[in-house]
Amino acid sequence: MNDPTMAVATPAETPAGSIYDIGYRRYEGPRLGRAHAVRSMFSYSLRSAYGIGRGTRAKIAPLLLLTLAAIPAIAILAALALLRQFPGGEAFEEELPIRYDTYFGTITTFLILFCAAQAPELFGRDQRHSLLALYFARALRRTDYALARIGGLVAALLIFLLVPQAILFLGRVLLSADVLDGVAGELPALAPLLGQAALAALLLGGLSMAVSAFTPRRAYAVAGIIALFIIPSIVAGVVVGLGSRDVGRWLVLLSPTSILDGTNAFLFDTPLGGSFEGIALGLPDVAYFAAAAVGIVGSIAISIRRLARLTA
Amino acid sequence: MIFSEVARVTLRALLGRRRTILMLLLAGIPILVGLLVRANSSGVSDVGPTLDGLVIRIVLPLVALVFGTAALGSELEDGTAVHLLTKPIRRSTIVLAKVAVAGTLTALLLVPSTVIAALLIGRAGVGSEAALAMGVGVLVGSYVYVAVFATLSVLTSRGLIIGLGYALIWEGLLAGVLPGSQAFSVREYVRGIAELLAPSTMDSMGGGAGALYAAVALVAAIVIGSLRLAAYEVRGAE
Repeated sequence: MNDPTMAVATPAETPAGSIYDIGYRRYEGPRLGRAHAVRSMFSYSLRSAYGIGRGTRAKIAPLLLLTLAAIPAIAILAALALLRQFPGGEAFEEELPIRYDTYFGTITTFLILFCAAQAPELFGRDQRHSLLALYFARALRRTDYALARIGGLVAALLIFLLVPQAILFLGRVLLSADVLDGVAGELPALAPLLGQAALAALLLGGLSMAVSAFTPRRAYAVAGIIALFIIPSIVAGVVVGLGSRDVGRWLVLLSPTSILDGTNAFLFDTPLGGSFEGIALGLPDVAYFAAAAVGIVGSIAISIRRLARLTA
Repeated sequence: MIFSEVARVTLRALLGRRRTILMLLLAGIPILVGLLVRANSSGVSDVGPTLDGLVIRIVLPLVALVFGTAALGSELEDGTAVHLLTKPIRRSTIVLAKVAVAGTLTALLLVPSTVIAALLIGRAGVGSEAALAMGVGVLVGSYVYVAVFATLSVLTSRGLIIGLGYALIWEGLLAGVLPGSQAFSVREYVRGIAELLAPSTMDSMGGGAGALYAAVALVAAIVIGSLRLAAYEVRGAE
């Protein structure tokens, strides 16, 4: 028993099995558990939605889109600053087309592209590379996985929606001579802004994840997301434009972007115009919120159900 | 001979079950809108703008994007293109065959759908002229879009999202802000061709010159795609 390697490998009380005991030991450190696994999955998803922790090529699309989404805010601040230089320029300020209430409509295209680019990455890559079995062998359950992934995209979309608005907010505050006065002047916009951003992130994020849960192939998921987000509003626009409001009303409530237009108009208390050229649809405000809620809950349920049935 | 063989293989690859169903659904949407319009009124006179917003702006680029990138890019991405690229086939023949097949498939799906939708939406007398003009426009547009997107998918590995950005941002948002940018917009070419055939149907920025631009764009896309594919190095299996 003077051999040092034997002394490490075999405890004295089990001499019989000593040849085969090569010293494997159980992990006895702290186990971080399910909650920690969900948190890690969430933050990992959020990071990878912006390409953080991935290669340069994965960063290009999300960061370029975020930049494009912020350009209107920067441009309008430049215009505001310029107008202040002219006597009577303030009169035009209310006429400028980019405000808190119009910003969501302004960047919808970028937002949709962001969903189409990143949602299939979050659900599709794990399926393509057969990684699901590895995840599910851990403390993470299938529902946790789905919720954490969806949460990651929703958080990424929230950032996407709020960064340009924050630029606009800060810029407008700094443009006023008295900063405290400026903050007070801009504060009323804060609540509708946050509410609308949360609704948009949840609805578009949930729906695009539901689409991409169904196909690991990026091309189909991308086409499906774009078709789902853009075509219903065009169809609704055509039908409403023809004057057939009964059908049009239902089509509007099937179109995610039109639903968000409706909630936006209510939250900011502005008339619902834009895509339907002022044709009164006569839909109660609550209908838009109900449709949004159905869309959010339904899409998340579909993703969870799909993940539960997927062979890992 | 080689051309038809490459075309046959491409056709079989493109007609996957899921893809076909998804594309048929997309192609069915204009017809569905036509039926909705017909059910609620006796048709409208502005067929052009209605179909422009739906077919030329979204459905055509989307279908062409899926077929165009699937014909070449996805093969390069998953590595099966090696079997084609290591054979003694001119690379330009490969690009030509792929674009021809994907473009024909896109046109086969969308031209009938556009024509039927135009006939359904248009008021009596307006519909048939618009149907012809839009049908020809979509026919040409199918090949140009597919050629552009196929070339994009050879040039970059993110051809899908870049093509989408081109269709939605460049052809969509920039058209309102920077009209000059639309000299490089396939959508404007299609609208121009429709205007050339039926001036009352459509009002495009470039007018009839769109037909010429479309031809130039088609040739340019195929040449660039061929040159890039010709320089494509097949690397050893990892």
